[in-house]
Amino acid sequence: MSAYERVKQWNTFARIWHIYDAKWQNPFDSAKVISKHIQGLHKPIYHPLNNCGDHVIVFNSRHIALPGYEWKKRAYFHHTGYPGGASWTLAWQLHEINPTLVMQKAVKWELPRGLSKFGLMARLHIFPDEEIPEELLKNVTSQLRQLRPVPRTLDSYSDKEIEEFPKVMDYPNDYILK
Amino acid sequence: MSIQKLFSTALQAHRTYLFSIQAHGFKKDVSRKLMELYKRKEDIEFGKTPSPPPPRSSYLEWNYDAELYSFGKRLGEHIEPNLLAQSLTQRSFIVVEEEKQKAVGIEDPILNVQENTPLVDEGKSFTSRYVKQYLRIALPFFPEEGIQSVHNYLLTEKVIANIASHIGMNDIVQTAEYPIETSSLHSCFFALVEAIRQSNDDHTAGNFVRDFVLTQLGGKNVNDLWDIENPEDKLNTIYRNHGEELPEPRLVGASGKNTILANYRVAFYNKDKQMIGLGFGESVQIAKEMAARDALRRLFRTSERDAPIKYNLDINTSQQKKVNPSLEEWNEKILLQATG
Amino acid sequence: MVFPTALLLARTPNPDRFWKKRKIFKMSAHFYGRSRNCYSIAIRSVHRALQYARRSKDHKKADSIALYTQRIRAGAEEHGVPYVLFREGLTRSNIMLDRKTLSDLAAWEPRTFKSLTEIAAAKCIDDNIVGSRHLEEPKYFFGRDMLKRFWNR
Repeated sequence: MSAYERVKQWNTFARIWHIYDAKWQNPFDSAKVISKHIQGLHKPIYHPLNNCGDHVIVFNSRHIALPGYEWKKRAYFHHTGYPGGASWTLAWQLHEINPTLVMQKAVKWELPRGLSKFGLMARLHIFPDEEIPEELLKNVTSQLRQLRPVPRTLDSYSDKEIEEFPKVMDYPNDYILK
Repeated sequence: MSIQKLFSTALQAHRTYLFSIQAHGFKKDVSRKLMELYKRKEDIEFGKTPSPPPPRSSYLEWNYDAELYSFGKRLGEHIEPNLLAQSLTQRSFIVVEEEKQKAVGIEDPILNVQENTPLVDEGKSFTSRYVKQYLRIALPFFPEEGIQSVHNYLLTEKVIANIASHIGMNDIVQTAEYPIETSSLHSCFFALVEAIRQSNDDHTAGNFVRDFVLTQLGGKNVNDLWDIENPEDKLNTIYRNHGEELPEPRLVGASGKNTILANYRVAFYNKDKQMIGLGFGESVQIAKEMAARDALRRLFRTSERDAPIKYNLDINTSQQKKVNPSLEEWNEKILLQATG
Repeated sequence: MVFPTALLLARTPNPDRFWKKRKIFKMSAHFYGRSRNCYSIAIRSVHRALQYARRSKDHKKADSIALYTQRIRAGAEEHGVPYVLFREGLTRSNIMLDRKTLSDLAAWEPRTFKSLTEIAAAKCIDDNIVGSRHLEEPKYFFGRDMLKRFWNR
C-alpha cells in the first residue's frame, strides 16, 4: 500500500465526533438516531465486523422532555439478587438522582444485544448541562440535527415583544387579574 | 514417481480383480496397502529421504527440439530456429557441456548451439528504449524522472523473471544451475526479444514488449513507482514556472483532534480559489504533504479520475520522440500546446 | 450377485468399512477432540454440521440482503433521500439495479450513487409520491414535470 492509499484508508475509517443538544428532545426518539451513529449504520462502508462507529456527545440531558405521562408512569426496574431486592424507580426519581441516566438507558436499549454494547456505549458521552470538557469539545466536527424545535417558554419573551404581540382585546381597567 | 505408479497399479490390479470375481467393494487389504504406500511417499517427500523434483529435461520422453519448436509457436511470433535456440542457452550451460565432453575424452568439443550473451545486451537496450518511448507517449504529462523510475521498475529482475516464467521459460532455458535462477530468466527474456527483433523487425519486437512487459503496469499506480521527495517544493516550482502565485494550503477538515485517531484534511488552493489537491493524514504535516502529492498527480494526469494507460498504442520505433520535460522545467501550458 | 452354491455365499468376505468411514472422516477433519477421529461420534457431528450448513445457506442470503439494504439506506440518507423513496424512484425511472450493485456503488462509487439519488428524488417529486415533498429538488437533474415548472416560472 502506498503512502497515499494509506492515508485514504485512514480518512475513510476516521472517527467523527458528533454533538447533540438534548434540550426539549424525546430521549427515546433521540436514542434511535444516536445509536445509529454510534454503530456506524449511517456509513455505506458499514459491516457488523467493521469498527466504523462514531462518537456522540450529548449535552443538556437534564432538559430532556418525556412524552405524555412518562415521567410519572415509567418505572426503571432493578433487582439486587437477594430475596426482596426488587426496586422500581420512577423516571422523575431516577432523573433527580442522575440526570444522565434516562438518556443513557434509552441509548443502551437501542443498541444490539450482546457484549458489543460495552464497546459501543464507550463512544457515548452524556453531560447533564452545557458544560462539556474542553478536550472533548475540541474533537467535535459535526452536529446532529435536533429532532424537534425547542419551544419558547413564556418567560423568554421580553416585555417589548409581549407588548407588540397582536391582541384581540384589552382587559377592562377594572378587571382584576388573579 | 515410482511410488505414484505403484499406487495406480495397485488400485488398477484390484479393480480388475474386483470385476473378475464377484465381491463387495474393495478387498480389506487394499486400504492397508495404500496407507502404507502413502506413508512411504510422505517419508520420501517430507521426511527421511528428501529428493527435489527432478528437472523436466531429465525425463525420458523429453524432446528439446520439439519443445523449442512448440515454445516458438506458442509465442505466436516467427522466430528463426537457431536464433531461438541461441537465445535460450546460457553461457554456463555451454561451459558445463564442454567439460562433460572433455571428461569423456573429446579434445576440442563441438556444440551446435551458441551462447546468448550477445543477444542479451542488444535485447536489453532495445527493450529499454521501447519501454521509455512507449511511456512517454502514453503518459505525455508525466515528468521524465517518473518515466525513468517506471522504466526501472519494469526492467527489474523480479518483474522480467516473472513474465519469463509465466510464458513457460522455466523448463526450456538451458542453463547449468537447477532450479533456474531469476537472473538467468531475466537475461534470457531480453535475448528472446532480440531474437524476435532479428527474425522480424523492430515493430514486431516492440509489440511483443508492449504486450508482455508494459501490461505489467495493469492494476498498478504509476505514482507509487515514483517516490517524489518534498512534493510541496516541487509543486511550488511548477507554479513558479507557470508564473502564477504559489498555491496556498488550507485545513479543510479535522476530526478527533485530541485522540490518537486524529484525522486532518488539507487542501491546496490556487489563486482562483479552486482546489487543486486534497490530502489526509494523522497530522497536519502529513496531510499537507499528501495534498501536494495529490495536486502533482492531478497535474501529471495520473490521478484516479484520469483514464488508465492505453496498451494498444502503435509506436514507431524509428521516429525518436522528444523526452518528457523534467520536473524542474515542467510547464502545463507548453505541454498542452504540444499535445493540442 | 450370483452365488451358485451356499458355500460360496458364506465365503464372500465382508466389505471393507474403510472407504465408507473415510467419507465421514474427510468431513470431520477440522473438528475438535474425539469427534474428529472416532467414527461413531464423528458421524453424529458431521450430520449436525451438514444440517447447520444447509440452514446457513438461507441465513447467508438473508444476512447479505440485510447488509446491502443497510448500506444503500446509509448512502441514500447521506443525500437526504429515504430508502423507500430511493428504491421507488429508481424503479419508476426504469433503473433496474439490484441491492448488491447499489450497495457497491454506495461504498465505492459515491459520485455515481449521488447521481442515482438525484434521479430517484426527481422522479419521486415528479410523480408526487407520498413523502416526496420533504425532498430537495435536485440542482442538475430535471424530471419531465420539473422542466415544465421551471419553464413556467
